Amino acid sequence: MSKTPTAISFPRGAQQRHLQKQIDAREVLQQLREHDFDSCDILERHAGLSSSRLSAAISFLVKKGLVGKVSNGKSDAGRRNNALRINAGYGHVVGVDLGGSNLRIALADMNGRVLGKWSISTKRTSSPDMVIEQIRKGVTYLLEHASVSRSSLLAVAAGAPGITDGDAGVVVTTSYLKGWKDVPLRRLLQSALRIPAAVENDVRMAAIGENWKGAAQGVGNFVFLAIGTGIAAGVFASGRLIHGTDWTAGEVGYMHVPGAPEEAARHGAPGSLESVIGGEGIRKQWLRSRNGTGVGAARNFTATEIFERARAGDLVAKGVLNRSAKILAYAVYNISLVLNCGLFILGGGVGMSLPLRDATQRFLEKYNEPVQPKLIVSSLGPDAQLVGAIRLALSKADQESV
Amino acid sequence: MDKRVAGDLTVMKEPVRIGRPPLLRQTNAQILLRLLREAGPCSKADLVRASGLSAPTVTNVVAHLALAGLVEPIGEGDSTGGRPPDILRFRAERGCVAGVEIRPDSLRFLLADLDGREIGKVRVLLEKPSSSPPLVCKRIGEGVRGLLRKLSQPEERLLELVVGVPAIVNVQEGVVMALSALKDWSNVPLGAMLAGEFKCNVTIENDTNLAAQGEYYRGAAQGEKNFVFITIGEGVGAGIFVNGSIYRGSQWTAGEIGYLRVPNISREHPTIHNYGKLEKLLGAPGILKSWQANRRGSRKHPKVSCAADVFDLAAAGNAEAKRLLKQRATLLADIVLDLALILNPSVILLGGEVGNHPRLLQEVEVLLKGSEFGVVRVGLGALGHSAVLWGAICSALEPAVLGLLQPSDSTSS
Repeated sequence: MSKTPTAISFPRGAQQRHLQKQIDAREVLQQLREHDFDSCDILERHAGLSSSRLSAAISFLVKKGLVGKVSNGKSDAGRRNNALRINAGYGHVVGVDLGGSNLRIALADMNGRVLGKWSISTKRTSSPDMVIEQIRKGVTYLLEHASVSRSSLLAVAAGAPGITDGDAGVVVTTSYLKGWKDVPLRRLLQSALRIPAAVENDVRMAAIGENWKGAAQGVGNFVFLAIGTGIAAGVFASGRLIHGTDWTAGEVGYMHVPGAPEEAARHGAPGSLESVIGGEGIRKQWLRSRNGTGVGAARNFTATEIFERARAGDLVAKGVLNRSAKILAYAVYNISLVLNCGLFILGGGVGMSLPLRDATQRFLEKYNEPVQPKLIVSSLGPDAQLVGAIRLALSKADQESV
Repeated sequence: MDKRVAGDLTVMKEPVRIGRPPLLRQTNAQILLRLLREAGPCSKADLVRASGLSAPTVTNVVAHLALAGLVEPIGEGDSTGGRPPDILRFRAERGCVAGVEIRPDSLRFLLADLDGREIGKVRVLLEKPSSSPPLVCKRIGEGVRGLLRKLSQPEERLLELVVGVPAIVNVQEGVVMALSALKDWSNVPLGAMLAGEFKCNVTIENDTNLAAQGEYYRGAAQGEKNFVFITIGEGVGAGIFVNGSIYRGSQWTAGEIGYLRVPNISREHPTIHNYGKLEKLLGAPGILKSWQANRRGSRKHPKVSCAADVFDLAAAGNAEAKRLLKQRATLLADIVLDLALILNPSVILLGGEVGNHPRLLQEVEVLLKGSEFGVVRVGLGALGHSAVLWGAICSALEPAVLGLLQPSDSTSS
């Protein structure tokens, strides 16, 4: 007769109203982080809340001390019109950029203003335990120098150079750090610093940074393409990062495009695309072409230097630049076609090269096809990941505080 | 608190509708409806237990649902000692939804109740040379009304109509941007035109996106939050699911993979980089053309009538057909790899007249085997040519039920 439906738990009564207030408060915080509001009216429109729910959420945040009202000097029919600001001093967060060669840490206030930065080489000390120890040291140093008390720390976020499972908080695998396999980085950070932690892949972290303070502010659909030793993309789709099923969305270094080799990639070896237009690939192209000219042995330049030489008129370097730009243009074109994405932010040691950007954009224009994505060089540069880490830490702090 | 934080970084969020009708009541109604639809008839006490809502809230919401005609008592259940409880059921017959698929040569219709159960379907051929937008609209109107009449459903009962079109569609405005297969179809405000034919809501959507939605609803992609459905027929396209919903891109063209540049095309035709080159090779007409071209050389060459025949011949051991199959599979494998690397889906499904051929799938699987990156399960769609219609029904159901809840909500609050 009557079948009992499978139980789903759902809050009720007072608990439910509290949950609603929490959700609203988070939405208000989110809006305050993305925009400057001169008055509550604008906020009301953006957050999409009714005025009663909005004022409940705001007074909740004000009571908590997270948000303060600042007079903006205007008055609206006798009613004082206040601007809302996040209280910078409510607490502090730590952003960590864990790279193959450097570990960088920043301390920021609740508005995301950076109070200090610290960095150290990871070339010799790269085991998980050593890295955590260095992070602990760095944070202590930063707290002392900024005269910030440890108890005001609310959250930490770290970007890692490999496949990173954000739900589990685990760095699954990376070829840039020795001995890193299935490292529970979030748990390690939480127990070392005794604050909530979040982890993310470094390229996706940089995409968060560019979306917050860089070249893709307020853009819902864009791709951050990092070209350094390897190649990877951080994809924003409808305002959210794409992670895929196994946290590997955007690992485009293995893409097959015309002009790149097609053998199946082995583990540990660079992917098809990376092997031609990654930093090493470009240097190999240069050495091969330069030595082929028979004018003595070629000097060992970096990819960026080779591209600068091309701009200065070196014919061999020009050939390398052209070939690299053509292949990069294919990759960008294919990605933009699949995602219908019009904006690409180029980052990383090789990606930041202006001659490469210009040449690639020219190829894209020459294709004269309906999709013509725009290429922009990252405006945050090497800081993108650190900025993204601060943003993610702020999100974590907001969640924990409300 | 271990939720994915990065996923919460929402930018450009669409504003939520303000205030009325109360979000909570709406949510509660949806929760109870979901329980009734999934678990079948049950008592209020069952609903209280399963939803975690309070008894008065459930009573309130059930009254509201009954007023909207969505729920009714069907008598008494077993007593557990006291007064036997009233058993409630979801009234799936309260209304119906229709899905329409526009194809170059025909229209297909499917009618379903609010549980998504098929009530009836029909196919109407189009007079090709004159399939102009107004005519197709007229045919859709006749088709839907004819089907309703045949099933003795009054027209007011139709709550939602979703139309799939083989073209890029601005879903928000209901505008078909370009449809090469039919004449005079460019920037056609199909949504507005059909709104004149029907009293209910009309939504226009790209057919491949709907096919993906259909496979997610009741086909091979059930429970897959991130997947891609590739259709290969007259043309080539992909429907992309990200986090459980269709991803359309910034100008509605996400998944237009017919224009990808993959290595094998360039090697074969290094100088030709035509718009849609890949689509022309991989689509059914391209396969037939290649087959006919090779046919001239040999008398023994068997005759084929469609692209699938060529793949059947390959399966039977015909060397020329095998070569052709291998070539196409190589192109498809490159597409699959690119999609897997960019999106990391849990599965990529193949469908369409050419795409759903098992030999093609086999060949693609062999080609992908060596790679350790961009590894993805590849499979066939399960719904065949009805995927689009089921996708249409699926996307019609939720707005249909919400539409029934809204008017009485605003009068009561």
